[in-house]
Amino acid sequence: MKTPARVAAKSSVLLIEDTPSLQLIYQTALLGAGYQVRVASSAAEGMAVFVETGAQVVLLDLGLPDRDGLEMIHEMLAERPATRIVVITANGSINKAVAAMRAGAHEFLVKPFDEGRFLSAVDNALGGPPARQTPARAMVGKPAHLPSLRPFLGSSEAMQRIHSKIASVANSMATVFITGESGTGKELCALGVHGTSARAKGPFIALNCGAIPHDLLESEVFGHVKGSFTGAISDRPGAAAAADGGTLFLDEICEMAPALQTKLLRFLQTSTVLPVGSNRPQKVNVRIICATNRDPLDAVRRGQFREDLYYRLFVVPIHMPPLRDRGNDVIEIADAALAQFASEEGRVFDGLSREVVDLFRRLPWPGNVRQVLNVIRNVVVLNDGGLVTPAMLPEDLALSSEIRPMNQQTALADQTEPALDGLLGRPLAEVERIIVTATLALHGGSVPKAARVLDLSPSTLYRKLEAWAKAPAS
Amino acid sequence: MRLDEDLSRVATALTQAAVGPDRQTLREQSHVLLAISGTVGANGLFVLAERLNRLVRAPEAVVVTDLVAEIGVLLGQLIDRVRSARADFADQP
Repeated sequence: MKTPARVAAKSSVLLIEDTPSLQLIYQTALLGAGYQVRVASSAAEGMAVFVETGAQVVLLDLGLPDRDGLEMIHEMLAERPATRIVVITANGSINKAVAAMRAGAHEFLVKPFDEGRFLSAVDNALGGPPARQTPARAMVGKPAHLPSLRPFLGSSEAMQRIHSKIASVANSMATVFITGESGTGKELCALGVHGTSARAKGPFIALNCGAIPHDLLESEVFGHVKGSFTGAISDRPGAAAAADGGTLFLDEICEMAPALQTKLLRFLQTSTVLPVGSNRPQKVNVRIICATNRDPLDAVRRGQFREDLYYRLFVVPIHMPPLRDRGNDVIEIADAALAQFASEEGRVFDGLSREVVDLFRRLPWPGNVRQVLNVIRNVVVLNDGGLVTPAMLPEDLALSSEIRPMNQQTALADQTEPALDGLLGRPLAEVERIIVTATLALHGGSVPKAARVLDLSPSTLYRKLEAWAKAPAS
Repeated sequence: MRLDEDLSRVATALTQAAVGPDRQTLREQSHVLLAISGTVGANGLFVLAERLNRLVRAPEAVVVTDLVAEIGVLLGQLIDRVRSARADFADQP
């Protein structure tokens, strides 16, 4: 089978592999697929052929005897930044492969691999989006402009570093893994990466793996064909296909069921999706960005997240700092939110009083930016205007953000915890709400702590609270 | 096909390196071996090569002579099979 990408890219593949039998096997596979291939057995020979031929795609064994593979990547990208380098490595040196991706490699293959996987990687390298203009190692420099990051408020040093990192990784194909507490702006960060990349005109598809029932998640990601399960009344493309040419953002990735993790890994390796009930794989060109508010390595240690998938995804990590570590950003965010919400509600506010500013700086903001926005929205909706004073703030703000002494927690729990008799006979949704409310009260309003006790992700708990706020209990 | 030559080279290098042990050589050669054995589907050899590669990457001192000897036996069998298959192929009209 010859894809258009292969036909168009003939004579542009350079294979650098020092083991003769493997060189022959790889070369045979490439020739059989219609490529013209130049081969080299050492780093020195490889560089000479690279300069001479202008190869667009390089298959580079990282274990060459005469030179470090990472140095080779740097030199090749310095010579021709648009080059797509697929690194080949053995299973034991996967950390090196990850380092290679950070250095600007396009993809990595772990030996041994089958021919399909091998050719798929070459196809992707030739048929992907326009190549980067700057190598990924330029990560240290400050971006000249960040037009798509305007929603990202905050001028703290921590956020400047985030802006720089986003600008640096945007044009790479490398998978970005965003970590951070709930409400720190992980999706905005993903949007920033997408918006500054060459894929900005393509779709940005976001999927919350924690919010979709496990038995529906496969269909949501990979799609389904009509009749594949009860309720599948028509063919439906999944998020992966919808993101073709753009970016697929998988939020709360650690909540993904193990079976689906296997399928996601397969998707990452082959760039093909197989809709539920279909036997016809579909090739897609998607950049993956994922996020979690958990420690992904801890999830790996606990056996909840596949190690191979972790290494495949955790290529460029970006950690979103919690608001309490962002200095004066909380005031910038609150000021901007006040102006925006006041405008939306048709009211005039004169800014935050000194007392409010002081209080905001002291609070730990466990819900991060999302909590600030909720507080400001509350102020704007419930007050007519003027200077925002402490009296206008939600009564439970200080309580909800601070840890109380144990005896107070117990007393509060005693007040709010309904007896089982009081729960029996009520609808399940109402019981859930009572339990959640009581747990929150028990933990001083701390959503992350309550979420931990309830075995929910904090963002799931926030969504529930938001939904209940819109539909107050009768 | 240079498969048997590569395998023979690996066998010799591993045997010599196991004595020291010369960890750098063991690491390089086990890397080559796991790549080749995995590619040609020699699964038993692949598992042993991967184990050796993992062991010599670990910071602790390790004794690998028994493991290398075990690998040597399987390597010898694989080399024989490759040569035999090549002879059969050459004999065909």
